[in-house]
Amino acid sequence: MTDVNLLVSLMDVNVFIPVVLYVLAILGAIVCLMQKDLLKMAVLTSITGFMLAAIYQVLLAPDVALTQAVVGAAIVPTLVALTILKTREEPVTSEEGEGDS
Amino acid sequence: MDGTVFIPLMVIIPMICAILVNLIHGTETVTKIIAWIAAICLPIVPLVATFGNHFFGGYQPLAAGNLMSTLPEASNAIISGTVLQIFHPAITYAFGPGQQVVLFILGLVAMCAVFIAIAETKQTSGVYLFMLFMLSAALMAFVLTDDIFNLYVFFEIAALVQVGLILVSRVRGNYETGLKYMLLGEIGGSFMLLGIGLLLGMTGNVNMTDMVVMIHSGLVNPFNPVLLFAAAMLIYGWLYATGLPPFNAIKSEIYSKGLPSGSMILQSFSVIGCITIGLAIIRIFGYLPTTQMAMLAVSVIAMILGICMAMVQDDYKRIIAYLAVGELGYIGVGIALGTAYSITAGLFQAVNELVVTSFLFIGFGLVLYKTKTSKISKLGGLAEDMPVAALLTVLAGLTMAGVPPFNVFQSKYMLVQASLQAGIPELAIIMIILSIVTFLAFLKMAYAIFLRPKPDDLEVSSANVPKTTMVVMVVFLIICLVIGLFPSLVTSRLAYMALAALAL
Amino acid sequence: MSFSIVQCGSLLTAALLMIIGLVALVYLDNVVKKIIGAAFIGDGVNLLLISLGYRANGITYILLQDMNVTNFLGQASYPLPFALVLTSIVIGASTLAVMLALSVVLYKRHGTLSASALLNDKKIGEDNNE
Repeated sequence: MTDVNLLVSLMDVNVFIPVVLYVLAILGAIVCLMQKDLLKMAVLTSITGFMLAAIYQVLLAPDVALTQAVVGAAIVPTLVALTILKTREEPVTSEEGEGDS
Repeated sequence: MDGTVFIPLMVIIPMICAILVNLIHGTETVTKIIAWIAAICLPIVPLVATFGNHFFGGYQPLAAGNLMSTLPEASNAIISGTVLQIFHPAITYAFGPGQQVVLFILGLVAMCAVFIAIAETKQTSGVYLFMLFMLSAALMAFVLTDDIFNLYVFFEIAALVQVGLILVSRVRGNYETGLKYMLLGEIGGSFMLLGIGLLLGMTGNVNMTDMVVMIHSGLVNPFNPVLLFAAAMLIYGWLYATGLPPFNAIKSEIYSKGLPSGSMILQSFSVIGCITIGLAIIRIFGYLPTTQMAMLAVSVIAMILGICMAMVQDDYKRIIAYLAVGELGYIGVGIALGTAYSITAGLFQAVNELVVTSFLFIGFGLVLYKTKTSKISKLGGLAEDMPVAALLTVLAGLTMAGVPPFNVFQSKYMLVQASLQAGIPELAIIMIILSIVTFLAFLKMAYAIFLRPKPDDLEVSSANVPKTTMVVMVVFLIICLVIGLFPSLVTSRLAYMALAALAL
Repeated sequence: MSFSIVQCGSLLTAALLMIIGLVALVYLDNVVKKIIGAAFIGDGVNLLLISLGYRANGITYILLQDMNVTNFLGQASYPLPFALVLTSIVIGASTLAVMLALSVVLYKRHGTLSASALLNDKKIGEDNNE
């Protein structure tokens, strides 16, 4: 009986939307970390960030959702992408820190 | 004027000064003057402040304040007569005699660190001073705050600034160590926040006094497994902040990568983190013997490991770093035994540690300043080049090993007594043996660096030892002697803090 | 019912995010991926805190002029954890920025982003001042 109840409640829009968001957030995290291409990974970071913002909105925290949307979906991917672009260039110097002590 | 207005100033003054010196980075004289003024304020403000609580925004607990009238009628009816009345609605800073002693000594150490940073660097760096002041502000807030989330915020600030302090030193491998420490710190910080979140979920509060009320009045089931998990998470954060095992290797790496003045503040973070987070755990979870046993076990392992790893090193910066981590085990033992006497002893040891470890870092920083090498095997005969500094450094080493009449002897004696009282004589034996081993290690190191014939290839720079550094070392020696001869000056005040931690 | 499906689901998501982050931090070799994993741990903890304040069939915690206070107190979500999360998000972002900057510097020095090459003890080496 409980299984049927669970299914019925999943049909409810108020439950259905958050559950989809949860699944997307976790899938986003996994897919992002499994990317071989680092630049794609940087872009995919925003999926989890944005889904988390939507989840916060659903969980009745609109102000946190605003912050998370700015930080998680815009700033963090930008920072990661900048890092990736910087580290794609050839290293400028390698004399420091190398060699014997 | 009410003296409690000074309580937030202890955090605000260094923070504002940090921002100012960072802004006016270019102009050297102004930076110096501001840094001097703020540094002198650091130890003085705790002395002039009166004891009491500071409620940010003036939001006192409803039972104490008269804010009742500003609340809507309906919520007034719900709140009055319940436990909600005594809850603290705002961030609360508690300031008592114990906090006064700790903050005074901490302020003194921070002041000396700033002076040395100004004296030993050729060009005063506003950024470096920014980090010194920011970390001091975070540490002051650590001691004062009664709000566990506030503790976490300053913990994260301190973690960031610590990495900054390592990065500015030009020691090899500082960037690698910094990244490693930050990655570990992200786990430590997140787990601590998780513990705080679970506590918040169970008790509905972030104020430690209120949590204790909720747990001990039976409103929350004290043996709920979620609480146990929260305790484990907080202990993980404690281990990370203090650098007890399994974090002892990375922590000593951090110490050895910093400049002497930076290392002083870095080790202050470990000491202050150890007592504040440790006291928070004992306060909230003191009724669970498991937490105490876990803390005790880790502390004993830290003591033994610290000395063992120090013995096999050839690098004196590493030796001090490992010994400093090992000494933190004594504080952990004092706090984990969980009686009023033992907590007082642990706090006393912490106050001494603040002074003595800084003393050692400066002393061996001078050796580095003169010779530019940190290998013991390359050193020797420095006593004739810097006789006074050598004498002071050896005295600092003896102080740390617990030789009377210095202060660490008194606190270790108290710790031994506390462990005997708690019915664990084995612990007392371990502590005494380890003190003797520390003493021998220092004798060996002092002989190798200062007394034995000078190797031919050793170049000693003719640069004079900065006057400020010598003055600071003498000040530290005087503090060690005074506390060692009159321990009740400190212990009588620290006892208030210990009792407050055990009060329900 | 004390726990709704939404709340249970969010707690589960938080736990999964933390586990994914930890696994990434421990097993992945790329430093940038490690850093992102660390950020996911922080996100998971934030989500846990948010779901503590959630109340099934509740309303947002903003008291408007025409609301009944008793009804409001009975329905509103609990805003204290939300206030904490705001701080925590900003702290997490700044930590992430510093770590990424560090990894750029390390790449410029060593020409690699592989953690096993960057963070082993041989590279960190002795403490001689330069």
